[in-house]
Amino acid sequence: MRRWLAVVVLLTGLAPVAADAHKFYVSLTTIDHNVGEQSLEITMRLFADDLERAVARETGKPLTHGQPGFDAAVLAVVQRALTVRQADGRPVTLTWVGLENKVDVTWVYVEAPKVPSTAGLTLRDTIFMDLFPDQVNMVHVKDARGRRALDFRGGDSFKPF
Amino acid sequence: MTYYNQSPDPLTYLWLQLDQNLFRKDSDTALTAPAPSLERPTFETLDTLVNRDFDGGFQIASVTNATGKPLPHTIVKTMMRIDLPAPLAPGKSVVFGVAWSYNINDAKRLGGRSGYEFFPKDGNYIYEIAQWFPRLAAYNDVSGWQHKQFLGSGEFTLEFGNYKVRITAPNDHVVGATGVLQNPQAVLSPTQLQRLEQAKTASAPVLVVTPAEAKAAEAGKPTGTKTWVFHAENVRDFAFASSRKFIWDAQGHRSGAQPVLAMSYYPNEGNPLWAQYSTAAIIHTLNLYSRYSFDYPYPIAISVNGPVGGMEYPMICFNGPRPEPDGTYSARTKYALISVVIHEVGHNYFPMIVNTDERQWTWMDEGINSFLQFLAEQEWEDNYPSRRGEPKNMVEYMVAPGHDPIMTNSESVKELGNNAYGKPATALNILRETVMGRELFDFAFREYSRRWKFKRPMPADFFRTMEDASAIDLDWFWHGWFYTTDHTDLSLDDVRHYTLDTKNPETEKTLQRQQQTAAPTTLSAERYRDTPKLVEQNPALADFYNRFDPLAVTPADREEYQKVLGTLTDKEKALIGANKNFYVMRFSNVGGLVMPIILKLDYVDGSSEELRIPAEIWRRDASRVSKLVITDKVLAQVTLDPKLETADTDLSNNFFPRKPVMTRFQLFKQQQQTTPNPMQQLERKPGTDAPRPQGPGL
Repeated sequence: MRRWLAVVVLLTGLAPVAADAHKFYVSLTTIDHNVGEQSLEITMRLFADDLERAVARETGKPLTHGQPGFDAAVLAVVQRALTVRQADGRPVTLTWVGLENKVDVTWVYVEAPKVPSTAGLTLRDTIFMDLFPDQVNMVHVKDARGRRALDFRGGDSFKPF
Repeated sequence: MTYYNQSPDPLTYLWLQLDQNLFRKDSDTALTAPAPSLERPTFETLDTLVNRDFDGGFQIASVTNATGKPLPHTIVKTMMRIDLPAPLAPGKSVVFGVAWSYNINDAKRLGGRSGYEFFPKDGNYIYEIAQWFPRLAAYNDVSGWQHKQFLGSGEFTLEFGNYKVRITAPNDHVVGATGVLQNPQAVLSPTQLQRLEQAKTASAPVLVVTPAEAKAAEAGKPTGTKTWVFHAENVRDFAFASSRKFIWDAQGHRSGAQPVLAMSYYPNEGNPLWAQYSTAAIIHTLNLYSRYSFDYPYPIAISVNGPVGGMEYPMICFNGPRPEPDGTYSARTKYALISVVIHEVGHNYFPMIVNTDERQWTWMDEGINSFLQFLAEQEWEDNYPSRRGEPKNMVEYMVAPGHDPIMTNSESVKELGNNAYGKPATALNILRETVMGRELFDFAFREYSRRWKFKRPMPADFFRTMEDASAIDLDWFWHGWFYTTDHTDLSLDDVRHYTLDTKNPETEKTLQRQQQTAAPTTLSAERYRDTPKLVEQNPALADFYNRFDPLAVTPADREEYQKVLGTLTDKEKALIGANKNFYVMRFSNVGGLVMPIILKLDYVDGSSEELRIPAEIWRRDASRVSKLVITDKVLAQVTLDPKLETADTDLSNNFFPRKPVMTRFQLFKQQQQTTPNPMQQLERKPGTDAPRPQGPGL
């Protein structure tokens, strides 16, 4: 219980939860199925300040890009938020590739190995929804069948790949 | 208020906007908010959901005529109708008064475009006050009253007017507002007056209230009140900010004939960033926007730091970014501050002066303003990290199925940031750089700004003026970029190489022999090559055909050629002898958006040239076109959109011959697997995560 209180104090010290006039809570994730590698190649474009907030919530302390433990915390945030399920309901494992920081945007790269086909896959992206009620997550998927766009808002369930 | 009916219509009632009613518990905004995610909500989210205790919205005490008699009025959500005793004829005016009050929202907790911020450390507040009085709705030629309800996204449009405002505040507060301070002697100390005077001709910001003076005020208590009087002319709104925490700096500037005082108000928490960048960014914005539109017509331009992230009002705007409490700041915070000051000060031009209607068309001010913001950022420093403007940054949004056309009402847009800011800013940048060229675009854009200054343009007025002043038919451009969700994906499908048949047997038969030699040998032919052949072992079986070389030039061939030459004129002989290469290029439009075809032609001799084909090439068939290119040199490679200027979403079909194009993911992964370059090694600080080829081991 004590630990939870510490988290609350920290969060109120960070950026406001309410929408600023020109702040939009949007993330964009691109998932390409690489047939040759039998993997999903996943690229997430996240606002760097939103990601730092999520990392602070994950670890209980403020961390910024480049500090020890930041990458591991980002992977934990991503693994919790982005879920891809096989046809039988088992989640695929997301492994770390890396991240790039571009001033206000952070690009996060993760990979799901051993995905020979996208048939029957379902997915859900809830990143930052716990922080911002207005959060919208766009997911662009591309495989042999073509390109499709999915969008996730609060309360949305899994959608077919 | 005195309301002048400048319209040609008699008005039987007036509509006023009650923006604060957005904060009522029964507002449409509150009732129609989508359900948030309830997975792991923060306590902050829970607090705003559960403790909906803020009693917001206007209390209208009375609406009266000039003699104090009540006027009938009806409140409809965020609008109020005042019924006039007699129709107000064109050219006539009516005087009325409204007595009102409202509770100020905690902008840090509840959001909003104005409100207060509390500083627990010293117990003080910053107030940023806007949309704070019943404001006249606009009455226009196109739709009559603009009284679409305020739901939170579509900001507003208003009428121009003259304001006289008296603000009474605790006597240790500093107040900044739309308009010129009328009673400086009554509210400023002699030292402050002298500093303000000095600022008018200074070449750097002069502190009117110093950080130390602001700190001292934070620790003190007011001993009474002061009334600040402001006048503002020809503005569509009036906003102000007030706090004892304010540092205040000012620097004189001149926009054409208009002297301007650029000023910033910020707490000590805003430094070091604010002292260095805010007023400098105001002046940079005035310089740049005036160059592309018109001279800034107001005497004041203010940037205030407080709880609001970024919001514009005439002569004054609110900007959020601040350094960390320890005084350090990230590059992100620095550029966020410079960018937001440029953006919000820039809004003085669009829509505070060119009075577009953001309640209906967000892109007309946010998109146009984001475009000019990009130009201002690019002139701030080399490689400024602009978020919006570069075509390649808009590719992911535009390629996604299911987004909204730009021409969508402000409240019904799915991704307002990309839709109303990013995409129109990108479209205008492409229009300027790729379609019209800088000179024609800049001339037409200045004409649009000049023509609609202090007037109320609709989208068609913008489209029409850009064509009117340039003689460039842009119907295809407005259609594709503003009314559809098509994206750019042009494909260079193939390139065929032709040369002239010269009829000269020496040339043509040599060429045929080269082609034969270059043709692949089949597997069987290759395997039989060294097998002993019967005819070689038994020459009696050989005849004429075994010795005949069909590609050898015969005297008959030469005779025939001389005969053909004899029938040709000298001009025809020269044409054949010019030795030109003919390339037929075929293109298809995969994404649907019509765009110019920009080609880079690389020749086998190592030289290259650019070929720019206007979008009119698509006018007969918007899905498939061909183009003939005639050259002296032989092509090695053709590249479509080599400088990434058209937001082409799929580069893999932009090369002939085809080249593999890696995705961002593949590029990153490949780079990770090679050793870090010297810059990466230098920029890595001791004790930080090194780039790793593998994961962090989770």
